[in-house]
Amino acid sequence: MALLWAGAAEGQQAPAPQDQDQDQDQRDGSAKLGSLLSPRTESPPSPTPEIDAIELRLRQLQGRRDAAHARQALEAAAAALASARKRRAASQPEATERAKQRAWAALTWASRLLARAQTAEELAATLRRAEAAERQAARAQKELMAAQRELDEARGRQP
Amino acid sequence: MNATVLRLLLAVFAAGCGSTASQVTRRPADPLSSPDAQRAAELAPDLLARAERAFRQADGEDDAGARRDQRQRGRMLLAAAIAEAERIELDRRRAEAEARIARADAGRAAAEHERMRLQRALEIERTGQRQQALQAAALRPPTAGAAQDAKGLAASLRTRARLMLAAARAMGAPERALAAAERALAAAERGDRGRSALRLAHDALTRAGAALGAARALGGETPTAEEIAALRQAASLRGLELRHTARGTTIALPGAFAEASARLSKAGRAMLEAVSELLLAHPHGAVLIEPAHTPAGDDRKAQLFAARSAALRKSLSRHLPADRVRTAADGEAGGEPSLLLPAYLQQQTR
Repeated sequence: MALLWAGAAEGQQAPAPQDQDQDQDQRDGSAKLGSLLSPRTESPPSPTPEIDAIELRLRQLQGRRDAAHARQALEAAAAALASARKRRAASQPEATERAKQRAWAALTWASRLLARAQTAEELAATLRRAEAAERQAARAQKELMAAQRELDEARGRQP
Repeated sequence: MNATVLRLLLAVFAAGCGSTASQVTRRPADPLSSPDAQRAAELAPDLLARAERAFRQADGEDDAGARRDQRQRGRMLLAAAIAEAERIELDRRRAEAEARIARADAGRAAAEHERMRLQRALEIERTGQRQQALQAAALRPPTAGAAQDAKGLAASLRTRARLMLAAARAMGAPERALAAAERALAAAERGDRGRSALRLAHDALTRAGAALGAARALGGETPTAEEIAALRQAASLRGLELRHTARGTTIALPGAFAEASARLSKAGRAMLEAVSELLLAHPHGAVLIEPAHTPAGDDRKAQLFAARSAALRKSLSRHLPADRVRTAADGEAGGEPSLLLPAYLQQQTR
């Protein structure tokens, strides 16, 4: 059921090129919504599955501890989502579709910003580890030279 | 694409989108050809292509609202492409840092391994020096005052035995050899069994030398250069004449037999006693008895030399393992027998 809208998420007018515009956020949202709307649940199917999926994905990203790194993108997604709901209520299907596309694009932007922030954190940690490892290697080298000197001196004392 | 409109829209978008947006609009005149966009085209081509398609779609829209929607979408996808390119570059730097860690760890491990090797060498070196010092002290001749009477000489021999025993223990001699030396030393210190103090002290010294030899035997098949040097030093202190040849080390036995006799002289017995002590403490390889050279056809001399070899063998076998003492068929040119130690060959040392 969730896939009913997924194929046309970035525009139903020209299916082939628009399909390529679906991104991971859109597919993730589809999968999660699919599980929510599975036949095992007794609640009735949502009349706005794609909008619900956008909202779900938005909440996921907003709930991350590092969401501040994508604040503006998440605000843009929230605005586009609100716009989609408003346009749908006003029975403007094409405008609703464009708002949903904007929302997906904003979510894509947000997820890339969060990924970048996470990688930057990992880089900082790795750089700290590299510096520590290099300090240890330098210390080991120094100890090696001291041991060599000690041995040379001991041998030098021999008759 | 309408570049002028695009520039205008990007400037508006930049005002509301903070840091990443400012990267997008660093060159608002031409966002898709800015350095950031160029880098995104290289590192995140899929996202950039989606942004380009959105901008193209915007240009194709007649409705102003639809055009605005598509352009906003294009800008956000462009920002996503740039963020992704930056992420990829950060990830590459992270991989380089990981490689630095791997190199540093490998260097540290190699240095630590080498340092441990040097420390072992240093311990061996210091142990060797301690042993040499102990041996030198053990082999030091008794002082004139102490040697004036048998009691003083016995005390001196016991001291030497104690030092030699300490050296043997330090070198890890087998417990059995150490125990035998300790028993002999204890007997010498008690002065029991009605034997002379000098004899008991001499026995203790011989046992201690045997313990030292047992420790050296554990070190391998061939003696070390230090052990060959120790042999030379010990022989010199005992007044023995050593020679290093291409076949090994030779101990000369001048005057061991009286003229035309197959019996050991008094000096010869003392010499053999000293040689036995020396060889107990230096246990590597066989001891080859080399008789004096027998002229061809001189049966009398051949018999004499054979008898002398047998006397030497008997004397040495009292202290040394019987299978260690062997007799060579004939000696080198010369009128005196000698002992050859093939293992104490300087070029073959460990």
